[in-house]
Amino acid sequence: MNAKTRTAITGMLCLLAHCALAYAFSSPLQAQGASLLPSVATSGEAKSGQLVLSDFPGALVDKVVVPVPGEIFAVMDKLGAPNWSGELREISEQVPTDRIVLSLSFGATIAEGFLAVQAEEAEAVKDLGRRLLKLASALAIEDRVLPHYQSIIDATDAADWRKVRGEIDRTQQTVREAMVELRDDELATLVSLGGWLRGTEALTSLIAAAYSSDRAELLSQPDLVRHFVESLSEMSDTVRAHKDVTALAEGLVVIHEAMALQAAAGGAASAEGAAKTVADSSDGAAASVNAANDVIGVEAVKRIGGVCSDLLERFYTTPEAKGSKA
Amino acid sequence: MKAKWWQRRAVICSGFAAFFAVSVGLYAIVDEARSVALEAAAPYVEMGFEMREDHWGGTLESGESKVVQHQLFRGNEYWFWAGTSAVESDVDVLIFDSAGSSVALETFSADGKAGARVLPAKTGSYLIQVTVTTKGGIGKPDWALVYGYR
Repeated sequence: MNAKTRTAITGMLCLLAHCALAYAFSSPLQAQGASLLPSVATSGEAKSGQLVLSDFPGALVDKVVVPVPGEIFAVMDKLGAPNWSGELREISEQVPTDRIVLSLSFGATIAEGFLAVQAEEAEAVKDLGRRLLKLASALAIEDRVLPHYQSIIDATDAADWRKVRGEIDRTQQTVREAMVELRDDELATLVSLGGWLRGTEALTSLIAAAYSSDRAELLSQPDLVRHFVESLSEMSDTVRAHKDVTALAEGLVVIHEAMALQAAAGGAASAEGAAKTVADSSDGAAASVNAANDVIGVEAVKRIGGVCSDLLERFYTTPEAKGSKA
Repeated sequence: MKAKWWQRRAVICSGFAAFFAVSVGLYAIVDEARSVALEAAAPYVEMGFEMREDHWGGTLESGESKVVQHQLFRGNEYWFWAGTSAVESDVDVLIFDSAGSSVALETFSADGKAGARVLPAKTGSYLIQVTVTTKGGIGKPDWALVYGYR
């Protein structure tokens, strides 16, 4: 074997080694999340289709599934024809430089995209697609988002709203996975949180505009809010010290209180969960629960929406932009 | 005899290559389980269910269960589909409300795939349980869970 051949073989092996290292340190989000899930032994009761809740301690599930806004909006559509267009917000041209703000803003823009799809406003969807690309560029993951952006534009031109919804969902998933690969798991959570806040803000606005117990029930998400609160509390000191993250943690506690009271009032269906939420909640807000229907009253809906709006103003909307179309 | 520099480097690189191959293998089996789950979902997508991109997976001991906590909304209809590449295994998907009652309206299980349908009676937190039991009850099968709604 001559020197040139040896060099070539060694070079190829080194390249392979680099690939191995890059791959090994970039495990997919799902596999990582799954490995965190503790295993639960199937009890006799479980085999008969009945599980005792104590078999599922609080720490059982590390990753709570965060629904996309489109999943909730689908129910709203079935309950009537909301004014989706009226909920669209003006898009800022500014691109933040702070990665925490960028991540929250990216999530909120994803939610805005779902709103624009519900409204079937093609131009708004395209504008939001461009906005997502800009934010992705600032996050240095533009190449990962570009194919999704093109698919969003193509599907919007074809008025294939179902496909657009799917592509927006894929965009969010891609960005979250990219962040996990870059060891920015905390930012991935902030993307989900930003989206949830914007979706919930729009939801509360629509519910308050035409209140019904069926609509208000969509806000029964105390476990999800608790998941966000816990996730924020487990973040690094640097992230937790960020002024927007601090505000988010405080705001989410207020939202949880309003939502948890509903679950508590629902009692019979979740006695164990209710006991915890009652213990966690202050008595003062009890009046905001509609006792007759065991759902959140209109005042509590507005309170949740108000907290969401205040938080979104920190990183997404300005007070003047509210009610403006994208 | 002292190894030459390029021989030492080749040995180190071969180690990395073997590690790379194992990593790819692990990724591949999880991805394969997801493919099986998506295969189970395909007919339902044709029926109007919108698939979520989020999915979960990994490996488990035969007979062991994995549980995912999920926020479901009354008014939507959900299907959860699970799959394993160990197609001779029994796969089960069960859905429980927060009180621990089984709430799946319809289930199926065959050829390494399983599914469960639910129309949530209340908006709230639900638990989705996936169990994979291999033939003979040994081994560490892979699993993946996906879901759709309409």
